[in-house]
Amino acid sequence: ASEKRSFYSRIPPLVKSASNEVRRLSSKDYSETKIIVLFDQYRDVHSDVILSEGIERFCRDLDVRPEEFKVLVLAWKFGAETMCKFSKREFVNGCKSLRVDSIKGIQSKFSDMLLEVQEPEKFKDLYRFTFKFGLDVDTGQRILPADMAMLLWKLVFSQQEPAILKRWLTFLELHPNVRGIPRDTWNMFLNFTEAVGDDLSTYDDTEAWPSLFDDFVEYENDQLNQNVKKDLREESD
Amino acid sequence: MPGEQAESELGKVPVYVSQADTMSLKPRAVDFEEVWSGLLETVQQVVTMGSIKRSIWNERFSDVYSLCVAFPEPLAERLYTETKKLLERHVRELYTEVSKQREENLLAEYHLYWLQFSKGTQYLNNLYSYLNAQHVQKQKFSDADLTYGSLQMDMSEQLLEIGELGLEIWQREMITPLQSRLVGVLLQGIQQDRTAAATDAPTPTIRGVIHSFVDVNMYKKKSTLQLYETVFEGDLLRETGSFYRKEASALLQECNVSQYMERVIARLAEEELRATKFLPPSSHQRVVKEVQDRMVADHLSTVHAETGAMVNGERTRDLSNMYTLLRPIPSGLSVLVHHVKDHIKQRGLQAVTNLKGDNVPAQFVESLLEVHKKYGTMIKEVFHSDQQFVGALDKAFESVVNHRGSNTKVVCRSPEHLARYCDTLLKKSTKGLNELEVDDKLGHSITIFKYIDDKDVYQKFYARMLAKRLIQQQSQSMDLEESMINRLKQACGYEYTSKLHRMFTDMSVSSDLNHKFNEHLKNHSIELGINFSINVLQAGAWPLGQTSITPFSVPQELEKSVQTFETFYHKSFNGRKLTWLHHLCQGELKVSHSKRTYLITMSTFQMAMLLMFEKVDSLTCNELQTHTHLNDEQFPKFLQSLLDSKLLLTEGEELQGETIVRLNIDYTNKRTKFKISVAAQKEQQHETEQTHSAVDEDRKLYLQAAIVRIMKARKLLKHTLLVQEVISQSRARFAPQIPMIKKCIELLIDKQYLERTPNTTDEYSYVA
Repeated sequence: ASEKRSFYSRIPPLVKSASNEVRRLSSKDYSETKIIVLFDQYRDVHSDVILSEGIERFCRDLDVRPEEFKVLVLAWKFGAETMCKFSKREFVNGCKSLRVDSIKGIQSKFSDMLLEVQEPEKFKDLYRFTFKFGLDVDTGQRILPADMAMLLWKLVFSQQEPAILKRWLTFLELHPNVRGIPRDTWNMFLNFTEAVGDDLSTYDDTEAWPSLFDDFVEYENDQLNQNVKKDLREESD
Repeated sequence: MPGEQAESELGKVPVYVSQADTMSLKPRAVDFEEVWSGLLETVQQVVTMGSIKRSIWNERFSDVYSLCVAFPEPLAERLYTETKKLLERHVRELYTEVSKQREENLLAEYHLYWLQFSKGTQYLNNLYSYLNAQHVQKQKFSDADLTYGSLQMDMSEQLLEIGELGLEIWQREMITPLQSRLVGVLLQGIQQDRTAAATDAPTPTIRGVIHSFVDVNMYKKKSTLQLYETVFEGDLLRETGSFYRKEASALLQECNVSQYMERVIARLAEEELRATKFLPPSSHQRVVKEVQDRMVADHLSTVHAETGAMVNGERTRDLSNMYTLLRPIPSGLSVLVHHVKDHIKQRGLQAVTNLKGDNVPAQFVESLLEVHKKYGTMIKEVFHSDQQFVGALDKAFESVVNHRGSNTKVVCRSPEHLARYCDTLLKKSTKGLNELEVDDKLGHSITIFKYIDDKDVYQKFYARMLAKRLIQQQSQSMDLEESMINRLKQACGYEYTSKLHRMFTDMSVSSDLNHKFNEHLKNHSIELGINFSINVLQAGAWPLGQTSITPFSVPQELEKSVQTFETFYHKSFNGRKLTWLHHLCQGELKVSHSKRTYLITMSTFQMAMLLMFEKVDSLTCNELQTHTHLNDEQFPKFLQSLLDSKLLLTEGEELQGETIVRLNIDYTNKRTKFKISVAAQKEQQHETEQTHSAVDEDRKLYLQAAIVRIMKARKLLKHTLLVQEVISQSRARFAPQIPMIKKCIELLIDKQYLERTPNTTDEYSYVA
């Protein structure tokens, strides 16, 4: 719930944005009409949203792949509710906050945006956003399916990969019984990567880590012990 | 005024001289030398315990009196000084006499004179009682001065009562110069006694001399033992210490620990006896402690080294000795306690691992009880029921009973074993045991029950088996059932057994209900064609999962009964939902297709199939299954049981499709009344798994409730504290696994009852 609240608070209230609009329009660096025209280029024929087909075209025009980190950052900037979908409001407000009204304009902001998320607090926000972004809103999902979570982990960490990520993803692949990732586990994983680095020996399962990390560390330690035993056997042979 | 005069004189009159009516009590002039010379002679006689004529003795009292009240000046002070001089002279003479003696006669001589002198001074004290009371007492410091006065008071200037004075002089003039010789000889005497050699002086002499160090101060109000302690006791303890230090190392050279302990115990007993023989009571404990320190405390590691072997060998005599020796040593028992605990644990585990055969539960419980009884008795007899050992027994049994083996993921089977054991006892078929014996065994089972961590698992199994006993009417006796439940209630409280109680209530309510139902049938002249009885059980109280209900179509013969009852029930209890648990029902069937008639008890499912052969002699599996609606899992199981009973026959291998099943026309059985059951082996394993998962579900709910309760009260709580709190709240029911607690916390975060306090990773807050 708190996540949701903070998410909405980032979207400026409508009335306020309307008054801002006047001021900004006068500054002439972007125009709402142009933004709406841009939106209409990609919107679905039947409804007032951009759907996956539109997003694909939008990405092509932006010269990015839809599964690229930049797109995730853009979605975060636009405050997108969910994947594969931009509502008109999200699109228009997003462009306004970036102060752009064209494809070129958006493209020009990418490098700033990438710089921005290198800031730890901003990255944390992006990271937490990513969880909600991955949920299927239509079915009222509250837990991220593991395969989706794995994709998103790869994506969100694509600029700066934590040392433990590969082993973590391998663990999840080998344990299909882990079907979903709850929000707390997702959020805490960022703390986890910071806390353990590459060294699981410092991990303490009496601390408040979600139990999936306990399982992961136990599995990793078992692997390690087996290897040690194997090595010993080989040596003795 | 004459009256006053008389009073003041009377006030000075001591009572004991008032009888001498010829004597004048008035102060008069006295010639000191004259009176003193007579008195002196008597005093000398007294202190040497010579004989004195009674008349002279009596006269001396008035002499002392007259000197004290002499006119014009009382001569009391002079009398005191002269007497003091006299006594000093006398004791010095005695000292010369005694000190001349060689060591072997020293004690005897000293003792002789001491007896004379101490007795004499007592008499003398009496003789001088007027002086003591009137002269000394007045100049003496009061008790308060002595207790609270400054240290600068000069004690030597103080006047003493004559008895005390005599003893003071004895101490100064006799003991002090002679002290080192005396002590040397005394210690030698005690040493001789220890080594069982003949002592130079007889026991009463040694004792007397030692006690003279105490008695010489008997008039003192405090620290009467000071002289004794400084002059003698210190040396004695040192001597004792060094003697037993040597003795201990010598003994350890020649004996093993077992023999050593025997010798030490004997030594301790001797030394205690010796102490009472020679020493004042204040020393007894100190001497014994010195021996304990030198012989036991100093060699603790040697004794401890053997502890393991003695415990493992259950050498009760050695252990009892060890207990006796180690108990007075601070924390001396801990190693022994530890070994005893480990040993019991090991024996306990030995008794219950690798159990095989049919009645594992009985073996499990009875062998544990045997071990418990054995070591309980041992602790009582060898260790005098010392709390530390009773605690060790409990700890050992806790770990045996809750042992899971090396694999912590495996569930502990003890609660199940114990519940099954009780089930076997409470079922009808118990061989050859009368009610009292069964009750006794049930009572003992509580001993094991108390050690179980997972009491909820036991409860679940017990409830399931109780349900089965009640429904299938297998209970041997309701009194036994009830007394067992009361025991559980006593051990775990009302809540633990409330569901069990409700099950009992249901049974009695149901019997009333059947009664009413039959009346209803009579009143409305309804004929069911069969005898019909039913139990109505509350869904919440009985551990009968709805999940085990499988499809089944009631045979025609029963339909009317079922419907009539439903109508009857709904009329009496509007709004209650009845769910038929056919898989738990059974019926009695009269079978008369073969030569004899048989009365067979069987389950409703079996009955449904058998009833289909009422009109035909053979049917295909398909027909049987379609008609009864039994599922693919149940059908072959129940059909097989009928085939096993030989009531039905088949040539086919597979119990499905067109395989033909025939009624056995030539069926014979020696018994005409019996029961056919379904193979139970697999059933039991399935049941066990089911029960455990049911317990797990209950636990998750319980833990979540506990977490919410705690968080609601605390609002903010660190992870580790929350976990601790949860564990302590659940302890009475089960020992929760930490991963399970964590999962429950996660679940509650997900359900938004809790959240992590922002910007922390190890603290939760309650979401209102």
